[in-house]
Amino acid sequence: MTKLQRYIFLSLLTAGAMILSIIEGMIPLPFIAPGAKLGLANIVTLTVIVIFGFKDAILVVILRCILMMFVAGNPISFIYSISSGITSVIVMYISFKFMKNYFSLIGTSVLGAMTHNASQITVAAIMFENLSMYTYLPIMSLISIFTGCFVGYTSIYITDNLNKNLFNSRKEV
Amino acid sequence: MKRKINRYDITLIVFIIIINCSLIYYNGKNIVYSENSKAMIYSDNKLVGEYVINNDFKDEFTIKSENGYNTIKIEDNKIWIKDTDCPDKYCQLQGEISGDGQVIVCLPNKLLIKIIGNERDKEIDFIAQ
Repeated sequence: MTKLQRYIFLSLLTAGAMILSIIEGMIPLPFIAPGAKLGLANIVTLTVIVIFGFKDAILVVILRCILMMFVAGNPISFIYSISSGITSVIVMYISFKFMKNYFSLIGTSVLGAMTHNASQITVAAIMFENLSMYTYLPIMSLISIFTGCFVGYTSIYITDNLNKNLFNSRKEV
Repeated sequence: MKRKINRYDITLIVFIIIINCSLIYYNGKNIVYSENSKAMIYSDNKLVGEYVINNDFKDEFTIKSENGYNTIKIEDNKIWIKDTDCPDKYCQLQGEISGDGQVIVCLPNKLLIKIIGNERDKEIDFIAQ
């Protein structure tokens, strides 16, 4: 893949992640716990980690957070989303790179979702200078297992198809 | 890369479920419901209101900050957020609280309501030391 193709593909994936974030804002899960989300943008992050690697995943996450700040017009949520996005990319990359023989993408994405919640609550605790919101973490972690499995299964199918299509079509060309 | 869910994934998931369920159980056991507990209201990390809530006390007031407003209602030994202008409305969905240690948080408006039970005061002093 040439550099240009790589950049075009990454920007397409970033746009996809943005659309997924907007869509997931329309389908909240308030009946379980307020603030719970499916984390659909995580599908793109995980796919980029598998296909392109760590640096590009960080780049996609930062770009998505900045763009979402302009779309949603909410600078406070930008702080939350960028910190949790970066920590979950780091944890998912470590899990994918070094524990590849043990965890499938499902385990990786469950770990990523849990890190996402934990760091978001940590940022909230720092912003409010109050530790009592950690009581909310166990409930969010339980939900993140469900959403993490969903994201993991989706990413398995996406990465399989992308690997086939991207690298086969390149060979033909 | 393994394609399907394997036993390591299941072990991880079961491990997480056990830890979190025990934490939820432990947290639930720790909540003490009592009369005359104090509700502390923080906006932008500053204490803006302190109310003693019990069955006879009724009140409704609005707290404004530079980010927006929240209308808070106190009735029947409970406190909840009745109305807000924040975009996600999660603070309204968090419902009513009355037990010691429970919190309502509104992230966009940077508002925090926390309940301190009347029997907890000594313990809090101890922790603060």
